[in-house]
Amino acid sequence: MKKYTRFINSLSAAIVLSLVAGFIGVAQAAETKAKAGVKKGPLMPIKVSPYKKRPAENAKTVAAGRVIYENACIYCHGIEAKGDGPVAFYLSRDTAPRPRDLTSGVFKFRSTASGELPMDEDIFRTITRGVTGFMPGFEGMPPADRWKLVYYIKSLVPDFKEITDPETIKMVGSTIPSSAVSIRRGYEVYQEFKCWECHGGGGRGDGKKAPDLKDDWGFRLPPRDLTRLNSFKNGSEPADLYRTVMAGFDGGAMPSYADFFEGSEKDAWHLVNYIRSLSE
Amino acid sequence: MKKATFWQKARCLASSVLLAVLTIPILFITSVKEAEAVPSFARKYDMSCNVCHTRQPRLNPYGQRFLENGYQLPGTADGGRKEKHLLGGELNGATLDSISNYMAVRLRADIQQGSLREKVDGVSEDPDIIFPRTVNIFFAGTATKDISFFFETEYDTQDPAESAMIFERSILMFDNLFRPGNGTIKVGRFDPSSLYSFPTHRQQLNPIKPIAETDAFPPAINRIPVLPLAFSAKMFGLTTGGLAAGVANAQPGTEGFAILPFEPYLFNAPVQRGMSLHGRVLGNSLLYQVGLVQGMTAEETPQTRWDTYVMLRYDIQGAFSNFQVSGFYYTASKAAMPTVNMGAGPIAADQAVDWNRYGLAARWQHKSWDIYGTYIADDIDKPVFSGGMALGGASTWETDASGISIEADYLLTDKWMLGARYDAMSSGGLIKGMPAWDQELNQDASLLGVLAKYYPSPNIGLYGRYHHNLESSAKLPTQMGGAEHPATNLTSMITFGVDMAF
Repeated sequence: MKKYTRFINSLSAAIVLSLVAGFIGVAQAAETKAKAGVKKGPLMPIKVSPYKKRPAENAKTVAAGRVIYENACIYCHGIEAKGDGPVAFYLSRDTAPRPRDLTSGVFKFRSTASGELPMDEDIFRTITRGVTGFMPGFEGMPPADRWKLVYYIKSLVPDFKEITDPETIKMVGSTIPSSAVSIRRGYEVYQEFKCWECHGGGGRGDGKKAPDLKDDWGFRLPPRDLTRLNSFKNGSEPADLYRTVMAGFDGGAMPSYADFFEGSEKDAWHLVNYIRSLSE
Repeated sequence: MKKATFWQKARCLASSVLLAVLTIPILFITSVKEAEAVPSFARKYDMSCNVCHTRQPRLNPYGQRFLENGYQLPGTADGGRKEKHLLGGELNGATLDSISNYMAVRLRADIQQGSLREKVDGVSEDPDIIFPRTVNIFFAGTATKDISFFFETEYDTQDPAESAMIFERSILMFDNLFRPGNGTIKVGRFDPSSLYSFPTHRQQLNPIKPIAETDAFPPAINRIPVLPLAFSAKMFGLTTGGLAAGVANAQPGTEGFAILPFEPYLFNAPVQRGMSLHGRVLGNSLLYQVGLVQGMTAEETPQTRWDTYVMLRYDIQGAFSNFQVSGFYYTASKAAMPTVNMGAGPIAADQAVDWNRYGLAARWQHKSWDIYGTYIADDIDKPVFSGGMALGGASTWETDASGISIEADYLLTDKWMLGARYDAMSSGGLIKGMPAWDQELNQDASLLGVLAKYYPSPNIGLYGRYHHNLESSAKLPTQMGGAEHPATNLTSMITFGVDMAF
């Protein structure tokens, strides 16, 4: 009988301890989430379904990606993917953007910190959506082929093999509904961070620094006219703009503002609302 | 050369003023901000026109592949950039883009001032101001996966015979047969040379047609065209039919009866009806094309004839460059009727002649340069006149002809393009109607032109061009009525115009 009593007492203690530990863990997790609301990972406000059918990354799919590259991408990005395809010059002779040198390891559209390599999903998103005005979106290409293309592009930069878990920017909080208060705060942030120096007081891309801006390759780079939402190269959804503000454009003139918004990420969302309001 | 009269000078001045009045607002509007209205493919894919054009309307290598792939992005099998509309009904599967994604308008207008030695009486003359000159409405895109289409209506104010809206080209394309890119079947009315290495008429910046009347033989030619002469028929003394009464399209009095030596023909005709198959099977470099196009024989009782052609093109890419070379062979059976006219009416040969055409073209696009040229040769059977046709039998003929066209364009800035073109035609066909003629009828022709184009926006091209006739130094009567020979009659032509697409 004593044996049973001891066993029941031990079991009860274990259950109670587990419950307490579990409760504490859940409570802590909830508290952390409540405090920060941090999400990590690629910021990609497009349909998620294509991302699930992802073929394995191996020599075979990389080789298949090269064939797709030669059919679809070679005209702008060139045979060796150095951004020197036969169309590159016609596309933009005097001003940026030229097609990207995919071997340089400098990627413009990322969910990762400035200077980091992009995530696979970032490259996939760029292939899928294209770059407004300059690169077509390849939604008409089967998702599996787009993934193979991602693998081929990654194979051009040796660093991709070394970095398996790139540092992503933190998406803190979520979209704040647009309101007069939010837009007003966004305007203040726009002034505080001197966005007007490049984008102009009215956001038309006519700031005093605008004529002198150049990309890393020395091509003149006019700042985006923020009053034309549908011309944004990195997308115009709130999460797209948040990603642009926080990650910046490596190789371009737009810096990352992640450090500036550290601890006051809500202001980044207010800025997003202000920018979007300029097109209304 | 005759000096311009006061009224000619006045017209020229008025033309210039009108051009300025018409273009300055366009310049102003387009320089204020980037054009938001761009043609359908650019709208559909959210891209600049320059993704596919060196500068509109000329295609760059990507645009050429887009065309080749049935108006779909290279590497894709469906032209859909955005989600298409799903049409209901029992089939419940038809999809369609928004109309703005497959409809575009191209508007061309110009002011021309041609300088002629003589004007042929009774022939329509060059209008000085033509605005608008040509309006095209395009419908193009993909109906569904692997099926694409292109329909083009054209209204041409300069062509009195066709001064109505007509379906110029209408094509259905079945893409990606066998494997993606391996085969595309094209059916309908199309330009056979659309994949050739020399840009087609539609890719020229407003081609200037000949002014002529072709219902009689010989045709009355007021002015030769300012077109790539390599494309031309090149043969003098040919008609499209015999002289049998009551046969439509094959007798004098019918427009198109006489074949103009200067009009684009056969493989290089702007439109032919038929079908073709093209694709790339041996890697990404070699393009093949075989085609079958329909016409009427030039016999006394015309019958349907099927012309066949084959074309190969090889592309080599390098840093900022694309080099391509093409070759084609086109054969047309019983395509033309040799004809002579000594003043008493046309006399036809015993039978229609076969006509073969073959050509080579090369194109090099490198950074700011776009250089292309083609050599095209033609041959016909030797005409036979018998049965007591003494006058016809005395005629002399040349069965070979050739032409060459070379153009170089240089992109000076993003908005300015300069160009120069040389055209030459070594004519064939009827040399002399009778030995007593002291001049040969099939005179050679050659033109040298310079062009300047300004693009205030990628979809709007303003241009000025000047062409000088290198053969115009000597007066050459045709021996038929003493009129100036058309190859030497035009001394020069200056044109200002606008070519825009929305």
